Amino acid sequence: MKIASIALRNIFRNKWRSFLSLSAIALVTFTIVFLFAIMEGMKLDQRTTMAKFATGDARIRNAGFEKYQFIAPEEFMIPDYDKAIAALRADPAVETAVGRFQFPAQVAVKWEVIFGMNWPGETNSTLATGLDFSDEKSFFSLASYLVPGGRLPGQGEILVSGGFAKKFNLKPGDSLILYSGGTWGQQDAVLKISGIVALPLAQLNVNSIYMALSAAQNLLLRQGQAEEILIRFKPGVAVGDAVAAVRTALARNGFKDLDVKPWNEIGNAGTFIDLASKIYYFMAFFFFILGTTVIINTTMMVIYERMREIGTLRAMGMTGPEMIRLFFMEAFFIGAAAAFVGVILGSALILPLSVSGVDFGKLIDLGKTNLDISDVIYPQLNLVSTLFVFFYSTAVSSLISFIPTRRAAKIEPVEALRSI
Amino acid sequence: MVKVNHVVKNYTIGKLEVHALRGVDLEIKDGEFMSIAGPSGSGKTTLLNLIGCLDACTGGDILIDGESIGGKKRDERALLRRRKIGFVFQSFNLIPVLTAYENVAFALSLLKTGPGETRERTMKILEEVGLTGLEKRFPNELSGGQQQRVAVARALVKKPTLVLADEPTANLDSDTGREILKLMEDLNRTHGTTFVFSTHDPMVMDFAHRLVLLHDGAIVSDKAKK
Amino acid sequence: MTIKRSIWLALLVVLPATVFAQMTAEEVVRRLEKNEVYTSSKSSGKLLITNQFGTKTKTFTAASQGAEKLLLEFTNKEERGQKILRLNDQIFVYYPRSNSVVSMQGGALKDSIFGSDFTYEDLTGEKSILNLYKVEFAQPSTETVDGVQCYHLRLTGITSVAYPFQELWVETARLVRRKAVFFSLTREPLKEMEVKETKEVSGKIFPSRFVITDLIKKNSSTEFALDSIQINPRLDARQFSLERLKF
Ligand SMILES: Nc1ncnc2c1ncn2[C@@H]1O[C@H](COP(=O)(O)OP(=O)(O)OP(=O)(O)O)[C@@H](O)[C@H]1O
Ligand SMILES: [Mg+2]
Repeated sequence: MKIASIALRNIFRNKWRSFLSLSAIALVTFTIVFLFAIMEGMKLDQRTTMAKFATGDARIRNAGFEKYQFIAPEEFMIPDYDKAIAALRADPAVETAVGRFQFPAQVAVKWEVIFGMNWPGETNSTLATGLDFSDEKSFFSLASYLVPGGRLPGQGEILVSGGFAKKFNLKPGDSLILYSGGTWGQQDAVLKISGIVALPLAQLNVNSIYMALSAAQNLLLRQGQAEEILIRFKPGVAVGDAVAAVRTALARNGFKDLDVKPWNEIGNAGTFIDLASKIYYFMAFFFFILGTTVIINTTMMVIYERMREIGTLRAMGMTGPEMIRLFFMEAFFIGAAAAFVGVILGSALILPLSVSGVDFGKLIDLGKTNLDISDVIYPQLNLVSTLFVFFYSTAVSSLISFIPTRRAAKIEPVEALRSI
Repeated sequence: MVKVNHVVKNYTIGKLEVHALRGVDLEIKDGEFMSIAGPSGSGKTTLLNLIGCLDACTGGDILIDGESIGGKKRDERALLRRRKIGFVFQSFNLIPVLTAYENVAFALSLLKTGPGETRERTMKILEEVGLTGLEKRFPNELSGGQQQRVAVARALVKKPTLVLADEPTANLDSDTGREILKLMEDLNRTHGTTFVFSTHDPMVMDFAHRLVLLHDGAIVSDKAKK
Repeated sequence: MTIKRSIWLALLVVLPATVFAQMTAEEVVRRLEKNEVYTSSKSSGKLLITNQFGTKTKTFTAASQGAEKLLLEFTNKEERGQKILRLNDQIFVYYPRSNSVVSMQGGALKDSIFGSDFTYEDLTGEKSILNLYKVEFAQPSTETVDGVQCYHLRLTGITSVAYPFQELWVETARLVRRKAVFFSLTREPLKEMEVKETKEVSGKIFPSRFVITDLIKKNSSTEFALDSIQINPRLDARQFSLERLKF
């Protein structure tokens, strides 16, 4: 008679109690599987978002830009960016390469006319981006975010992000005055709003404005220059290899001091997700502690109930470690079954959600937080992390039973036998 | 062979010291069928527990087959019990989740006996205790007498040096009790296993081949009867 | 040597020094400011903004009336037509392309002009030093700056001022500003101004080239160089008005 099968039968002695323990652990496992799936979803979201809106699959900037962007960004542009783009597009791995110009700007949305001049009361900070609308169509297709009634801007025109438009009650046809500041040189223009873009990324939607790349170049008197070039690789291309190829291609074409970075090495892309995963791991651990108190409690009750049985088994010659194994197995079976149930239920919930998405924008105002995540997250079921949760869940809930069982092993057989 | 050498056992309850055994000397030869009798509180259970390696002596020593058990650690004593000592309890103490067959076979599984031998020995002893056909029953599906028969089979299946039974018939009616005693006597004869059982029932004492009388923690008489 | 002779000698040596010392710190400032008073001025010049990457040049014309009206108009390509008008303590910036006027207020006054070491605030607050600061001599009271002997003054703000502490060096001979260091409330040096060249126009000594260094930024400095200066020219007083910014 194996200890394991005794343990298994013991589980069914008090079905409701075992069910309760199982439910607690299953619920915890379920929650964690769900949390991890959301986290995976956020990672995926960030990857697509970064690639789509901010970095492309890889981004090229002047090597000094990163370091000096707050002191003298204008000194670290990509000159001859047209030539660079032509060279990049010749690379078979590159689907498209586009130039961009990004600069902070103050924007006045209303003003009075006094003495024949425009007098804005106040200005608001925005992030202005000059980009090539037709070239970016294949990834950052701003046209697809246009609110009906708007169109892409021409010279002297501008697109305003939804959040900004809503805040200041702007609509297509309205005008605004833009002032570039700082070291970019003090430039200004009255621009007409050609359309509103409702961007899925809360942070961008708050205060972004978009204009044609040439309009930005003209405004800042920087014709022929771009701040960055974004590259989109063809599907199936390994980004790491392609980036290396791009570096050599640029060097061969005489471009020096250009820095090519794959999307995942850019900026602080990882930091938020890293922090979130740490918080999630901590939450997971905390949930488990809660869930496992049920296991501890059950095991303790079981030990007191079966005291005379423990005495009998000890009298028959079962040693302390064997005793521990018996109770451990019970917890292990419950834990494993619960983890299995939790993982199955979690996956069953996530699979449809990974298609339909979860709209967090409705739940919290992400615009006010500083997170680079979309409103709608598509939770992702990751085999490795799900397996991890299964094993973790099983391990924690069974290992925790050591706390009460170690005490059971120390009970004197005579004492155990004397109990009723 | 078991030798009990001037064994003393004290219990402390708070500040109070209870002298459960006050120097017991006893020799149990192989194949004996012996009863330890005495009034309640005389120390019968205490003595059986000490002989059964379930507890440690306060003074003196016990030798089983010449091996002193005084200095053994708890798990060493457990392994000794596993091999050499079978127990029969007053309230049967079968494992409720195991069938009659499994309860018996479990004693062998602790000794890592192979499956074929386990099956053979288990079936044989169950037959000897008269439980053929009831192997698959769980304890709660058996009568008290049948349960105690399973318990006797469980104690004997591993061919122990010694079977200890603390008031094995106290929870049975007198007819069933007598049947159990008869069974134990038969097994003592056929297997040559040493049986030591405690009781304060004169009918049970009648079955014993040797009767040791305990009183207040000391042996007051020790008579061979048959 | 007799005692009498030595007293004479000592007097001879000490006398010029005591004449210096008799002028109080306040008096130095009063004499300094007297040189700076004129009813109007007209000038043109360059603003050379230098950082570690190179120098940018902005050209401008300037007109002033009294101490509290100033109009700067930029003439270089990038900022052509942009104007900065100071009326008393108010600053207005006119942008020709959007035909708009931004009134600089609050924090915006601390913004740098074209990324230079010069802020809008630096254009304001030319009331008499004595109204704003308590003035005293440093120890020692004179020091040479680039080989020129100067009074070394310490200024402590008595009202709320942009720079609560200043050190000022005034040429002893001509009683004109030579150098100034501006400190924060915690006495950290923030900026330094040094006059590199002066011009004498209509009996007034004018700093025609001076450098302002932001001591917090690295490798940066901003130089003002005036090509032409007219003192008390005939000016159209109406140009210092908001209505006329557009023209
Ligand atoms: N664990 C213990 N702690 C304290 N005293 C004990 C303990 N076990 C037994 N005793 C005491 O030791 C003495 C002997 O007890 P023991 O159980 O051996 O008697 P017994 O002969 O088996 O009695 P009974 O016929 O009632 O079973 C009694 O006075 C009892 O109260
Ligand atoms: Mg007893």
